[in-house]
Amino acid sequence: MGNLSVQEASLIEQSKSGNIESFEQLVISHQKKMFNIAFRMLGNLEDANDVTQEALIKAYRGINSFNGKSSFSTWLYTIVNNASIDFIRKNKKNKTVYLDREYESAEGTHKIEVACHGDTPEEVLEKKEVRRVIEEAIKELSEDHRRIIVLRDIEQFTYAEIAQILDCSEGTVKSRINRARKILKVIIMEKLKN
Amino acid sequence: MNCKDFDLLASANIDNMLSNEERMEFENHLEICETCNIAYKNLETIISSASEIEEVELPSKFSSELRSRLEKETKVNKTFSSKMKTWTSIAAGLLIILASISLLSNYLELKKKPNLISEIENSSNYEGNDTYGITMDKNQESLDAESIDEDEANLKESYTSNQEQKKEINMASMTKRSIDEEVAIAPDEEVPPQSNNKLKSNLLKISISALLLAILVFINKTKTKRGYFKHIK
Repeated sequence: MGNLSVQEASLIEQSKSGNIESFEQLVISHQKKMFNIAFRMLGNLEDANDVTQEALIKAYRGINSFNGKSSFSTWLYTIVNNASIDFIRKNKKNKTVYLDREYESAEGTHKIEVACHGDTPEEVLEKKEVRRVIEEAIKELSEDHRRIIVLRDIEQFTYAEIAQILDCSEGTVKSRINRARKILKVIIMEKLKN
Repeated sequence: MNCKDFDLLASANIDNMLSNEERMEFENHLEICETCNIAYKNLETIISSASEIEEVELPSKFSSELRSRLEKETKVNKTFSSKMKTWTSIAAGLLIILASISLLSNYLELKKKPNLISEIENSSNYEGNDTYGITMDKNQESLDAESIDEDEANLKESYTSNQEQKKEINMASMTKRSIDEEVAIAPDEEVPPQSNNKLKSNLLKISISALLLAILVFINKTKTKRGYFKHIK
């Protein structure tokens, strides 16, 4: 358990034997970030509250399975991230067609390349304008692309942390970030054109 | 470097994830290609705008809601654990009763065969006074001593384990004692060597019952401590 401080390790042990106060102390400095991850993934405060609470209960129930391979906070962020994805998939009443999906087809990939490297140069984006539409644009990303943008660009996790959260290699993280940003850029440009 | 390579590296460069060599090539291309230059600046604008998105505050009732859910969770665990305790106690009791009945019926069956017993009385193999019971392997020549020793060891082990769990199931040691008493009734009776198989089978039944009891107690103890079982491949 090299990733843990002495105090954290002791609080984890106490939580394992059912001490609620120790568990609360253990998660208090991480719950706001957990809530923000859920909020950016789900888009509304009520669902974010439910999912974060549920994720914390899952963490409490499963604290015996925490093996210390990652830091405790990364473990919590993994749980809330997965809980958010589960929530989205479970609550898809009508099959949502995300705007970025159309760019994933063979034709769509071509469209991204044209958009980024067309004969005509890109128009320079105004930061003020981007700020106005970026939150809406993120909501239009598919859940997989959205979680990459949320983890890297909003919550500022490192590539190594994202690799742990998504259980993949850093190389995969690198290419996923690249792809998700490209799609986000296309959505933002489309939004600003309209 | 062409525009396509540049496109692949742009995102990683913003995050300082390129090697020195890659970064130099990247910067050279940036100077000579206006399209890529604008594309890169736009990407930077988007990423910096995303990083400036403000954090939302936790709902005011977040902590109190979490506390009540945690308390509910602990309560559910306790109820589950106490229900488990009751059921394992009942199951353990039933097992021991079953084992005792089976043992008693086999003993009564033996009693119904006086001819067989008198044959044994005359038998030169019979040595008489030794205590018969769990340690009877001493006076049973044809008895597989090794097997009995093993059974005995199992019993002792389970019994020790039962003693340790006294708080959970007091019943365990009490019923255990009653089995010992039943087995101890036998010394006055002569047992034919032919019945060794039955005897061995009885001892085996006791051992299995005791082992099952120990397992149940172990499961119960694990649940009480909020432990878990893990299947390791």
